Amino acid sequence: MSGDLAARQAELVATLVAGGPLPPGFAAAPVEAARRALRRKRAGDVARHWPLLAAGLGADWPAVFVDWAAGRPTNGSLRDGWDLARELRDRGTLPPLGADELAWREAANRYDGRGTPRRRRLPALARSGGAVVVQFAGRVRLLRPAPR
Amino acid sequence: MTVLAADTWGIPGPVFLRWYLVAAVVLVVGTAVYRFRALAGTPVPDHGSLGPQQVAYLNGGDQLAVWTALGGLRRAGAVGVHPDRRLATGGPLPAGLTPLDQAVHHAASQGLRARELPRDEWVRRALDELRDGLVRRGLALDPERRRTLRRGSILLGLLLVLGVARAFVGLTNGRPAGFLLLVLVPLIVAFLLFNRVPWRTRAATTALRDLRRRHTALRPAAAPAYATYGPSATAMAVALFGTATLWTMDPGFAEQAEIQRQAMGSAGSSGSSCGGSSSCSGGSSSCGGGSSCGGGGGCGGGGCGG
Amino acid sequence: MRRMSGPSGVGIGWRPEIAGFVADLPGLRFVEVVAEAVAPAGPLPDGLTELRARDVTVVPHGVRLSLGGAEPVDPARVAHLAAVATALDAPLVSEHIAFVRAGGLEAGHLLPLPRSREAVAAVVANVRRARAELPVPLALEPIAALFDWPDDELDEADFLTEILDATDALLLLDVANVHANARNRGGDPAALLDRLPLERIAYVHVAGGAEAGGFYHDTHTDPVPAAVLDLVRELCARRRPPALLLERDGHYPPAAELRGELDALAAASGYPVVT
Repeated sequence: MSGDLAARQAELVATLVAGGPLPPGFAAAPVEAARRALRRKRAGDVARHWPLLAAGLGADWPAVFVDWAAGRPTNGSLRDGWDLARELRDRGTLPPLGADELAWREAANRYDGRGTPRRRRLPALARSGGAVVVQFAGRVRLLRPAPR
Repeated sequence: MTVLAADTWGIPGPVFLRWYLVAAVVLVVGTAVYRFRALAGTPVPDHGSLGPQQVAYLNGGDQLAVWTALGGLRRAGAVGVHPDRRLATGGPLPAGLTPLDQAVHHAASQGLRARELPRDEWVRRALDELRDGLVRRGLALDPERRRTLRRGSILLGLLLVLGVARAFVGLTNGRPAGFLLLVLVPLIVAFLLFNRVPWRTRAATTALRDLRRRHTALRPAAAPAYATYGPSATAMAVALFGTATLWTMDPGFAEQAEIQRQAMGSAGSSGSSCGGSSSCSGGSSSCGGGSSCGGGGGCGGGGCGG
Repeated sequence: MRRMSGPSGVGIGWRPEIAGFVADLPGLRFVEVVAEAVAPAGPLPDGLTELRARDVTVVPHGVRLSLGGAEPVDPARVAHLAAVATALDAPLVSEHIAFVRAGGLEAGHLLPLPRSREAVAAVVANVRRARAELPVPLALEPIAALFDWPDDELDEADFLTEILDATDALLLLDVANVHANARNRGGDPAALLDRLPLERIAYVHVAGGAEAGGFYHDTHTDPVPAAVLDLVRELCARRRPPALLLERDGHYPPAAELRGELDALAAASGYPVVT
């Protein structure tokens, strides 16, 4: 059973990170264990890029992240955390610390949800969940933290 | 002698200007020399002999010294915080506590809030003690010395008022005041400069610069492993790099205890792990992607295989 | 600056989080740095500059080259690794026998290859492509995996030996991975050591892990288990590698504990303590 290694590797990655079906012949339990381990690792990576978001969710962080990440391949830890924070904000479940961090990031950078976030050149004011942040010439200041 | 009626205050312009200039030069040079001597301080032969709270006081005064003590105690597990923002104590009391540590610990055991700490009587006394020690070592300035230093700028201010008044009166009477105004400009600059009286000596500034260079690994942008470095180095990190250290080490505690947030240096490059309220001074943050595995972040159990 | 000597003695993975701890290890001669974390064009991290000034060997360790990918290795990634090696004056670089992306998706992790001739050919082709651009030798590290492919033609030892024989690569043996694979996929770890070309080992990785959900996870965030240290002793009894490196990637313990792990590594290998 040899042949197209590229296609089979792609199939396996899709299984592990994009909710694809188990490729034929693989043992289900070990692959599932690998899938979980991968998601936990990803949660840790994103937490390091978004420490306040993760801290704000506290003990719920791994579950919230893993739930959101299921079937969603990574766009890199920075964007993953960004997308998750925006989704939580829209759902009204973004914790205050996460709101501070999101507003801070949005004041400093421009992110369209599709490409790499770019640093803003012009002054900006960002709000999220009650947090207000200004950025001027690259200096960022939290004017008002999100209400606790 | 006949006095020309048109001379302001009866003193001819060139005469006034000459004496005004002499007075200004004497005052500026005198103040500068005095300041230069008074602010020199005593060089620290071994910067390692400065404790974190001493460094904190020199870097940011009373408030930073308090945050530094709190940071060390938090790392040692000796203080916590209740949901109502009141501090609490727990765990065994670590060895080798300074008087300020003890005072902050005591205040925490009384359920004070973090922002109330500098007003606590015991803390106040410990801070005074801390400052006096630094004054004796030629690193900090006592209030009296700071008042003396301000005298130069007060005299300069009086001279400025005189010059401005003369120029104003002269101009309203149609007398030329161009040269006088020209002299006033640098005098204002000198006044503003001398009006700022630092609380530390140049020797202290040198020591701080050296310590910051020696402890670059403790910059919050590096996401230091505070558990590895221990309470004393954590306290030094607060002393040198401010409350961003507390926010990086323990955001939950920092939030609940309402630890002051720092203004942020750079607009956080993508890929830096600097948090919303941590100071990301170093533009080239080395965090993120820094591990060959990254199972960390409190979510262990992930496989690595590297 | 003169080229560094090869890895020797007991070393530790340099990470920004513990840079101050690493800098304070008096006997340290050798560290490893994650290549992707270094920007060769800019100034090196302070800690690394300091170590280089002390003539400590710094080996760049790539984690995202995907040498085991069916597609040719990305020339930009190879160029980056080469530039890092030059910037650090490294005597060699290392990477994994694994793939990390396929079909446009990033796995975010090192994934195992089928132990097939086709996979051997893919790795060998990529190693040759990389070697052509790298200024220094390349050491290859077999990974730990939780699962096997269904169509393995070779066993682990033959798979590795075929790859090493077909390239001029050195071996970076991860003793914790050997332990993990034996524990999760079966097999005798000591027997594997008997069949590997131990004379080609450039250095050895040692890391901690933990049991969870019926599997041993090579976490790099837990203490090194006694079984892994036993395996280090087994390896050194057969042929002592020139260097052993402790990898820790998170949940960094108090300094005393980390020093204890380095000392245990020194004791198990007979190399001088570095703490």
